[in-house]
Amino acid sequence: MRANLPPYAELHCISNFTFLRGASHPEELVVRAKALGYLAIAITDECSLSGIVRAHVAAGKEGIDLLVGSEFRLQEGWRFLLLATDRGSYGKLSHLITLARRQAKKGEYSIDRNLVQDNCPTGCLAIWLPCFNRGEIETHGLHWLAGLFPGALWIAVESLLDGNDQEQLRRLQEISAGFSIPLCACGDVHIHEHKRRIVQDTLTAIRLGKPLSELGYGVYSNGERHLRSRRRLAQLYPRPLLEETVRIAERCHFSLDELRYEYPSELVPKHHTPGSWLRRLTEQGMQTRWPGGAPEKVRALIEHELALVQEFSYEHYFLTVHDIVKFARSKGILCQGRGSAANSATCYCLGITEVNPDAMDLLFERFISRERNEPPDIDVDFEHERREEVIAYIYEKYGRERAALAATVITYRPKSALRDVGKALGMSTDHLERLAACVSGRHGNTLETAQLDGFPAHSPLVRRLVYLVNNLIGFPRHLSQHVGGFVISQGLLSHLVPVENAAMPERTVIQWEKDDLEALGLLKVDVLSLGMLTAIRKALALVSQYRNEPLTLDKVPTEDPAVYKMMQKADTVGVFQIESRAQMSMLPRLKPENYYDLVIQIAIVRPGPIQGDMVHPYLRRRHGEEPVTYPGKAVEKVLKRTLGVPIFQEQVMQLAMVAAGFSAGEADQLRRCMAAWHRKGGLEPFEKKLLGGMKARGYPESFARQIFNQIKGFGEYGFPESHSASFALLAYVSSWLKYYHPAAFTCALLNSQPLGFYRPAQLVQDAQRHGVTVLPVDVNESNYDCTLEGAPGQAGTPATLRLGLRLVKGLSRAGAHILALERKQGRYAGVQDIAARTGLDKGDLMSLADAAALNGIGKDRHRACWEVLDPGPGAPLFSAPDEEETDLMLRKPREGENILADYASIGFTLRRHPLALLRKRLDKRGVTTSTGLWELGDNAWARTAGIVTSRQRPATSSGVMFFTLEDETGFINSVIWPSIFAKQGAMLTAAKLLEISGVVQKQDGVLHLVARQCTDLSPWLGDMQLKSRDFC
Amino acid sequence: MPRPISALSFRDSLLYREEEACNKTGTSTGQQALWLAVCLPRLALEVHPHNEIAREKRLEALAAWALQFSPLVSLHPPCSFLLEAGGSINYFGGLAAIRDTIARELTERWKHVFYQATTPTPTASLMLARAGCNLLVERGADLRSVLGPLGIEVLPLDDKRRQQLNKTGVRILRDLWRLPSGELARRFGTDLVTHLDQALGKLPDPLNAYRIPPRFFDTREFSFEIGEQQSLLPAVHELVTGLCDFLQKQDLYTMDYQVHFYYREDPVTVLHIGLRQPIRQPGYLMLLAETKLSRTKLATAVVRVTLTAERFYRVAPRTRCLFSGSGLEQEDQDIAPLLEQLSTRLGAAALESITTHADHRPEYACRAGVSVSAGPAPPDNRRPLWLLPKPRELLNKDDGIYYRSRIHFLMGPERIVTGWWDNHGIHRDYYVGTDDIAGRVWIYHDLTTRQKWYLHGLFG
Repeated sequence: MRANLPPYAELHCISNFTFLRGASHPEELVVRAKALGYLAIAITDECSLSGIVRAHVAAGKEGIDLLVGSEFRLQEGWRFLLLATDRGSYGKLSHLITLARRQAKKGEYSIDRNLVQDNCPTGCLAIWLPCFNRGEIETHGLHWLAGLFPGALWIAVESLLDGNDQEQLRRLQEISAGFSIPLCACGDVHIHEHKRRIVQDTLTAIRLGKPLSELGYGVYSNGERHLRSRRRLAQLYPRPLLEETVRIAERCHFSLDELRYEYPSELVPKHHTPGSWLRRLTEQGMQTRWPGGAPEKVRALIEHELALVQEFSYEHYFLTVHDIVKFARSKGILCQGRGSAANSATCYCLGITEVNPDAMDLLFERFISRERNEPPDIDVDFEHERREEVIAYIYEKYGRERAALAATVITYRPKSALRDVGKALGMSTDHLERLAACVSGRHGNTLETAQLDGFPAHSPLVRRLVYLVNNLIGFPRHLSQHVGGFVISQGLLSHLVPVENAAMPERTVIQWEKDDLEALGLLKVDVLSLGMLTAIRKALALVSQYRNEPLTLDKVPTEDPAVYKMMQKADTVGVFQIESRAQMSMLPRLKPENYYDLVIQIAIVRPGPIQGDMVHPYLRRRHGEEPVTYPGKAVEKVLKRTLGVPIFQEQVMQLAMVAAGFSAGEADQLRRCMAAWHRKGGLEPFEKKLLGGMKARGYPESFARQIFNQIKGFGEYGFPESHSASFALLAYVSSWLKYYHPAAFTCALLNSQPLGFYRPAQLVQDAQRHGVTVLPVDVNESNYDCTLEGAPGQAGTPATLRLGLRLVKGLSRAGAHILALERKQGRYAGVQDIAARTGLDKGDLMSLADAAALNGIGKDRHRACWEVLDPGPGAPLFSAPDEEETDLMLRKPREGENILADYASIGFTLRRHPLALLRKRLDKRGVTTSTGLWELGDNAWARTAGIVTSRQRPATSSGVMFFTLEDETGFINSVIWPSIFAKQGAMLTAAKLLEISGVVQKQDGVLHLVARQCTDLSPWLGDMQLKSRDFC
Repeated sequence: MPRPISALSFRDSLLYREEEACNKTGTSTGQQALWLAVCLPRLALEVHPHNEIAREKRLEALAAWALQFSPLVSLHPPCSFLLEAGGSINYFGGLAAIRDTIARELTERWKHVFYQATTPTPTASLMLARAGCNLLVERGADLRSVLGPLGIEVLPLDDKRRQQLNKTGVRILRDLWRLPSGELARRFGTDLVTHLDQALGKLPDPLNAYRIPPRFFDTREFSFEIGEQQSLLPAVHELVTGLCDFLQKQDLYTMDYQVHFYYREDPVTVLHIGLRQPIRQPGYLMLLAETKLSRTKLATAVVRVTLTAERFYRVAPRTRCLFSGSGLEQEDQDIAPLLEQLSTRLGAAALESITTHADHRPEYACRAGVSVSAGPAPPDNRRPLWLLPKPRELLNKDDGIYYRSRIHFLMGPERIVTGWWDNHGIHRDYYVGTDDIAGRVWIYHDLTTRQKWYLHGLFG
């Protein structure tokens, strides 16, 4: 039957990447077009190609031709489509989009006839979209297009049942005859099927900022802008118009697969090929790394790697990363690569990583998969305070035309969808606020009616709301910039992919995101930022300064047993990665003794191993409580280094290959799927194949199931060995610094805030516990940063840390710097002296007074504030200041007041802990201190109290919350069951000072208090401004 | 919010007499000015905008009620008022009697939780009542020590100033007494020092006295019953003139007033006269009353006529521009009195006009209304001006659709599928057709399950 219908290709179709206009995902459009028997479909998003890669991937799967195009509306009001026919015309189209986007605000475009004329995308096919105005058609646009696209121009006939279709067709036929330009049928498609129409209307309401009921003629009168059946099209359009679409489609030969991406070649000197230059650099590095000659194993590895790199022509990529890293090194910016390609022997030689391949057994081959020809992935972390310098270098070296950041598509989440849909449905602000309160970030990616507490589930409004919200979740909303994924090209980047403005001034992003780049096999360099690198660099600098000899990362002594001993005691506040509550409670159990233990330690406290139930088997085997066995020889090879228990992402993939018969490519697909299944699903086919494959190879089902559970657990948090290996290095170095140079380490951490798990308060207290003397902020002593004072102590390290002005809340950065600079001319005598010499404004001076930074010049907080508030002698309308200022009867601050004010200003106090002041009252309630808890037996009943410093609800804990309290003697880890949280949630979320009664649980040197009853004692603190760091 | 906590310290204090103590000694305070402040803390909890208006009204009602105790009452939103009680002591037979009456009525009649404090200065009384103290201080010399323990929250300071005071260690007023006032003024402004001096009676304390809002009421009694409507007009005329004089003097305008006609036995007849804009021209107001009266049937003979007006505006009516910007605006103004008269004469329901409204659904695109402004332009297609009040089902025979005769299709379809968001969605294909007898018709095919044909409009 269908065979008799005229063939059709849809040429005018926008996806939801034309934000708030299109209402179907590109994939949906492609799948539907194929199902309807269309011969081809064009995705013509408005001045954008951001959805095209998704459509391309879907079209590949479905086996339908995809045409690449775009819709434009000129400032003159003329509208038309452009379709790329080949690589050349695609490049010009992409460039035109770039120009239109770059000269407008973020998210907008601006194009007029001159821009098109000057940058005419010749080779493209153009389709004019006529505009009807009360039956009249203005043809200037057509006339103009005819001059630009001779023989490649059509007139679109769009029959959308608006009552005038026949009349319009007749008029267009006249125009077609008059201009000798052929007509073709188009659908002005916004949605893939009619059902989606209500989402389309809702998006219109969101776009126009009005409720649906007030849209009037702003909304389409019907839902005809969907992909219609060919039967329907045959009824609506004359046959020749439908057949013409196919002729147009046949002229478009371009596929995104043709995009080949060339990395900059300027890094290769003359007389060298990229391969020979990479080999030269690698060999040079090898000599530096192993002055006595590299081990045979490493040499073989390097040969293997270089051969692979050559096979896939990735030399430029490695050279580009090397160049960026070389720049950072030259500027003293610490950096470290991660990822398996980064931790290759080649990258070790190139200085991209410090992970010694001799000590590791990483799978370089994973990211350069022979089968799928996929690009390697190297993430490079830079110091967070200096990453901008690296980005500036990249822009400067390659220019804005050749370098841009990858995009991140920001999509609707339940909360944002709820807010927008609620507004579109005309709900009141009151209702919207109540609705938003019902949805928290913890809920999944769908909205259940049951979540809307207090709203009638069966009311049509609520049902509509839930339906629309669930449809809208996952819809792209706008493009943002990727955290650091750079795309750099040999030629103009805009000929590869459109580039547009980002929100940050002087930043540009390409219209594709990470997944799109991967799908097309394009490379990107991840220039990421890491706070710990900043802290380590600063700590090394401080140590170098007082030791009077430079200390660098590679000179830090390795494998120091004393450092591992400290880790085993979980004495790791401030240390990279292994400082969190969960890591700390694992350290005394796992007892890391060497670098590789640390690699495991970092990877094991993750949802993957925890949900896959890998932690306890590993610990039992490690402690010799369970025999180390393997279900087979092949598996033994994969799991030997982790005692037969899969812990790393790589191992799971290898297992899939050796035990379930996955090919390398399939295993890689599995990895991608693992990362995205929480959001997109799609793990089921792998489950079947994995379980079946393992069964066929004789593995027990329980083992197979365990592996699959772990794959699921990995989810987005899957931790590869290659990343853990890089992190373990930093964890070790930071531990070493903490152990041998606690003052310098704390000083560096304070000067690199914000970073890590702990606030300055905990870092300072921890330093004090380790014998560091901490001195308060003082205008006559402190610099902007925290500093070390005094002569080196016994161990050769100064033990006195002076807090810096940077900790003073409200003090401007510039003010703090001027204060420190001007002090070089002489110490400050008083408030007026500071004001006169530095010109600090009242706000800055008041911040100093609040921080008690003026105590050193004899002004307590009250007196300092009184002086700061003095408008000065020049103030009009007031009498001259009283001379008898010395008799001022201002009360001295009490200790409690000072403590509260310390917390309010610098976030902690060097005086007594607030709980020390409350201890008598707490004793009366029978409250035990943190250290007191250790004296109690396991399972003892206890009551304790402390300031809440963190609240955590790990994804793996099925609702159990972990609270950390702090009193004057230390920390208390407390476990709050969901049943208690359900009853007292609001109080627990808000409480600053909490009393918990419950049962003491001790295991492997870790103490937890399992809460039975909680009481809010916050009023005891007065209006103390404490903020805990919540990780909910 | 006042902090009742401060009151605790006073309850234990013997220095200052609580109300009972005062009764026993029977002190006569003579002609000394004494200010009685009442604070109703629960009123301050009303934060909803809707309730805020209600709260103001309640506070005003209380002030009006308090006028029985003293001619000088002043409002202190959100939750306090103040009255001068010294002058009324003799009349009421002692201060205690005044305080008693106030306390009793506030509790029993108004059901309020309240604090009342009486001191020689308005500011001190308010501070104490707001701080939650039920207290009487007769001597100005005692004020300093009474006010001393109050927290600085009782001072009218913005958050910034209050925080700054806090930072200098000043928590209570006693801390402030210790500081040199010149220095205080330099730092925290003269207002603060003035306020403190006013509280202690060192500086005068001017107040805005509360007055009952204006209301117009006038009446004419007839010595004999009047049956003829025409004979009532002179009385109505006098009343309207009285109203206009009142408006003129108060510089007010009105938008509605009521004329009541009383009979010997029958229930009263009320004419509600509403206007389109605030006005006070006697001629115009009279014309409307006359017109309305002529359309009203009175029950029997009238014995009394009254006129009341309660809602007033301070805005001047729009004046006509000499050079009018738009013709429509001018026309709008010209037509307004005509419409007013028509609507008064014929009744509001008798006057209707068609307005266009932006909606694809034909039923919603034309609405009856009184607006004369132009609506949004309809979409680019042909529609009849007049729609049938309800679509009429057409005969669907094998050979076609019939109205008065078989309909020939001229244009279409125009598919209208919209309105899903308000439970009145439609799903129709519209066509323009001709009927040999009825002329051009607008019909539609209902695409929902009904699948029927309807006539929806006729072209002129």
